[in-house]
Amino acid sequence: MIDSKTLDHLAHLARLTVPEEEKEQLAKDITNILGFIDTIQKVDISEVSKKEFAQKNVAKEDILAPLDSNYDLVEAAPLHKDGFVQVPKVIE
Amino acid sequence: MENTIENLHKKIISGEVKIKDLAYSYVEKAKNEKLNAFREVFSDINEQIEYAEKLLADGKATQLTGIPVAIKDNVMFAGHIAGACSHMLDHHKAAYDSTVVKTLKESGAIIIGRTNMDDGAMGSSTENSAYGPTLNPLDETRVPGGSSGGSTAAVAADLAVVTLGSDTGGSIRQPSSFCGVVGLLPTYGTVSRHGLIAMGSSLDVIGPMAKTVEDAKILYEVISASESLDATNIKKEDRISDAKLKNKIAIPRRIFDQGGIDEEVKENFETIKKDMEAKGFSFTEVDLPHFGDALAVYYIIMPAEVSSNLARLDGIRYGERVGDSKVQQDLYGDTRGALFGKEVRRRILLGTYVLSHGYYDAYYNKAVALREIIKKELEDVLKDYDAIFTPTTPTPAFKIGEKVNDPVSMYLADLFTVPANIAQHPAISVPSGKTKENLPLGVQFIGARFNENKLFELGKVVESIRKY
Repeated sequence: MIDSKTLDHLAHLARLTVPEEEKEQLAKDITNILGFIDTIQKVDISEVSKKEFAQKNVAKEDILAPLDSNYDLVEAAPLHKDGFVQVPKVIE
Repeated sequence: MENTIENLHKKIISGEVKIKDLAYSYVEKAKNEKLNAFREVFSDINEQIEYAEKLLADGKATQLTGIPVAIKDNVMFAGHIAGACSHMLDHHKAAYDSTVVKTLKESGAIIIGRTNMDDGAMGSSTENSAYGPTLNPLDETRVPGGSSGGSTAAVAADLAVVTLGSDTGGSIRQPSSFCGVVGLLPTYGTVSRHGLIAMGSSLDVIGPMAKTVEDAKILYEVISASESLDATNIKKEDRISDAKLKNKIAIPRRIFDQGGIDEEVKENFETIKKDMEAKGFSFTEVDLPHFGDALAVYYIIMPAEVSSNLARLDGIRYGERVGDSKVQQDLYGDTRGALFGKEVRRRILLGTYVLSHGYYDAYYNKAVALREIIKKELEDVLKDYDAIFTPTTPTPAFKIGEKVNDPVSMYLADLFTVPANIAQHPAISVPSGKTKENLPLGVQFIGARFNENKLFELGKVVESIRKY
């Protein structure tokens, strides 16, 4: 059961402002979804050793190569000036 | 004659059809469509046309040269908006080409536009798009499925010859079934994800949607050819497949035990099975005890990955920023709260929950372990059988608005498609008939990893017997 206190905590962790009027429905939806996914609690997973998959690296090795396009990622930022991304002050 | 790659390629080579005329005839159709299948029809395609004409003149034309294609709005095409149909990325211009777009361009295909989808690829109907739903071309009161619903509607209505979508839990196969087209989920790792706007990184795969199995195969072969810039891409020499069909198909035991499976879906499934038996295929019920748990596993792993992946959309780096907050913390929350759609916010919060202190072991770790069990079950069965056979979806296309306020019932639309994503196996959806109300139905084959070729062969068998 997700209550309003838990929802506020999750919203804070996720950096997601939830409008007051949506909170009740959202808590209800998430409670329903958790009810649905809780079916996995019945399943016995003891046959799977955690180590076996947790430590397997699936990424291939990096290969150095020149970039073939002209990336301009600063342009993609909503606010930027002179090639820098603009952000609010972090410390007063 | 149907506008397939095969047919149009012959006409392009013989000179019966001019590349430029063909491209602009599709641009006109796409501009005037009323289904909301396209987000944008590109106005700058002349360079692509000239390149295709040059390939043709030099005798270097590929099967895709001059073929009008469309891409889902989460696939990056340099200089064009790639917005994932989210207000968060309304004006997000791609800074580079995704690997799939690069390979399409090199083949001489003409990318004519980008298609509608659920916000951030999260949904099963396109109703979560920030720009309104796409209508199903076969019944405009119904959804086309999702999240790649714009791409499938575009193929079904011949607004593009073939299209690209992405499939995280069924987002290519489910809408393909709803719109009566062929959709392929390739083996995870065979198509580069570089330049795909990420949703669930261990699940996302880019794949083709087409009118015929052969067209899906042609497009798949082009987009899977490059290995570049994706750390989980599998080297071509490591993609090992069985060469020949054994003509043996597996069906999960008690597949229809779960409620909510439409009677006409069951009947159609049985009909296709009987007709394939008459052609020499044998069907055996097999135990896949955790097949039905895949959906619950998916709704833990996927939101966990969504909540991590979407942390980068914070009002600082990409897209849009909301409010004039002087405090960084508020800026994140206000931007994300205002610009993500409802389903995206739901999944971020759910993902945050299953990853949070105190719940991590009960949900995320448990789901990851169960994923290994499901993987092993599928692998074991597919050592003896060519494929696992299921309907693609539990029901035909539903009405617009029917499920939009009931997330769990919407999630059940992915019941049969999710296991392949969880196990990272390939799967194909092929049109298999129509209901009394004339709505398309589809069947799905899930194959062993790297055995796309077997899926194409099986798909062609269904094509040869399907009942309309």
